[in-house]
Amino acid sequence: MGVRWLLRWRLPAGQTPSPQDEDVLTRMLDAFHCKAQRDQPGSKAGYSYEVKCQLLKQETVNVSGVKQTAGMKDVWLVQTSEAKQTGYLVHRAERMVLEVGSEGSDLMEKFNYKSRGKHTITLTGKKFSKGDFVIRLASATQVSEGSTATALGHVLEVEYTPLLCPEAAAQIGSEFLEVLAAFTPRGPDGRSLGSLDLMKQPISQYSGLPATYGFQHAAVQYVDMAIQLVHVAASAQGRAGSQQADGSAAQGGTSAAPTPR
Amino acid sequence: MEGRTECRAVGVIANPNVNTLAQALRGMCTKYGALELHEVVMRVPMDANNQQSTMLRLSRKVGKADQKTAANPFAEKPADRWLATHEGLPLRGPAVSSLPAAVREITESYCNSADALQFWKSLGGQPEYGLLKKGNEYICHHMGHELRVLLLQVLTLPTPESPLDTARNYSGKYVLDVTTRVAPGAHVEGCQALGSFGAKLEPLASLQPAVLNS
Repeated sequence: MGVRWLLRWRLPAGQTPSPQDEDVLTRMLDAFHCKAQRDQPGSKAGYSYEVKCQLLKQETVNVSGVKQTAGMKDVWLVQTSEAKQTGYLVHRAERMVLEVGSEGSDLMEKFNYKSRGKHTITLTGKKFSKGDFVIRLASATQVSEGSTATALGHVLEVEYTPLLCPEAAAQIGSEFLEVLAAFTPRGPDGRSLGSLDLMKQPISQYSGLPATYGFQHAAVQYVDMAIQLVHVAASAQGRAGSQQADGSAAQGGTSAAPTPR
Repeated sequence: MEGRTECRAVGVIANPNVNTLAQALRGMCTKYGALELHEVVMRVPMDANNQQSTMLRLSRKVGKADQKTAANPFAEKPADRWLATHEGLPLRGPAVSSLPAAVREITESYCNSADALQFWKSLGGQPEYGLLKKGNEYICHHMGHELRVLLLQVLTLPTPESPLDTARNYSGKYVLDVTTRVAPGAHVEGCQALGSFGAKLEPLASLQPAVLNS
């Protein structure tokens, strides 16, 4: 394992994530001469890796049968297919991480921690390699209530395998990302189809992390990326809703907002 | 040990019998070794008013294991490896009351962190008490079950997070703690194995069902 950086595929304003974005990014990686890695045995068809981030909230049911929050604070549980025997509890408010075994989720259930469907974000994707770099192209989905999945966008994860020290890997990482950015795909009209936003590594804010990069560091980054994806999707939904309301009002049709007199 | 159902029996050992009992256990076991356990028990609130709660037991081995890491001075100090355990309430009812051991569901997971105690505290766990258990661990096989036998002195810490060198054994007595893990539904056989094993230790030790959580 090496130092990792996460990049969010940001679409132009007004566009929503779609499965075609994955084709666009795959073509970008092909143009960058990245070699697709074969699926790992036992993985889901077409996908080589998966990361699941779940927000766990402690809940109880009162005597009236109403669910209410209990005394313990919220915590994120991160599980990755690359480390199936472990999970990572990320307490963002206190900037702390705890590595637990595969039974960690069972243990949290004993304390009435539940995972709300809308706070489960899954990254599934494929792996590519270019020299010492491993690039994972993942689509992010959010499981909503009623088991419907909402597409949140795409994420690129770039890993430099030889180094475990984030500071030592910073320069070569930034050079690689700069070159990768030059291959950002463009449409027939020459306009960029999107951009890769590098997510700042929040790991320096967390106490107690090992000096060498590991899955605890990656778990922190995955949680921050998941939160960012959800916020962006919620903002886009809010803008779309207000635009729809404005459009309906302009046409003089029925709308949620009353027409001023 | 596999299985998530635990059968457990404990006994307090009179000091004159300790050495004889230790020799007997050494003859009955397949593996043994010294053991020093640091335990901290936390109360986990289960409601917003802190009126309902459950217990979380955090334990880790201390002592000689720490000395092994001093071999490489350049190596990073390994994170504390704790075992977090939730013990369910013991099974009750006429069917289990006559069993020679207590039966409860165990859920556990290891925790690795620079400060696992602080992590659980930050979530809202409240440290209740701390213990230092020093003695021997024996792995015995009896009636097809693997038994974990601990012959320990239990020292209490003034506060849950006090340094280990402040631990004191006020009674001076030893505790014999025998557990076995079984598959769900197989607790009767597990308890019978414990009872039969305990009978072999008579009169040096008298095992009773461990009905208290601590």
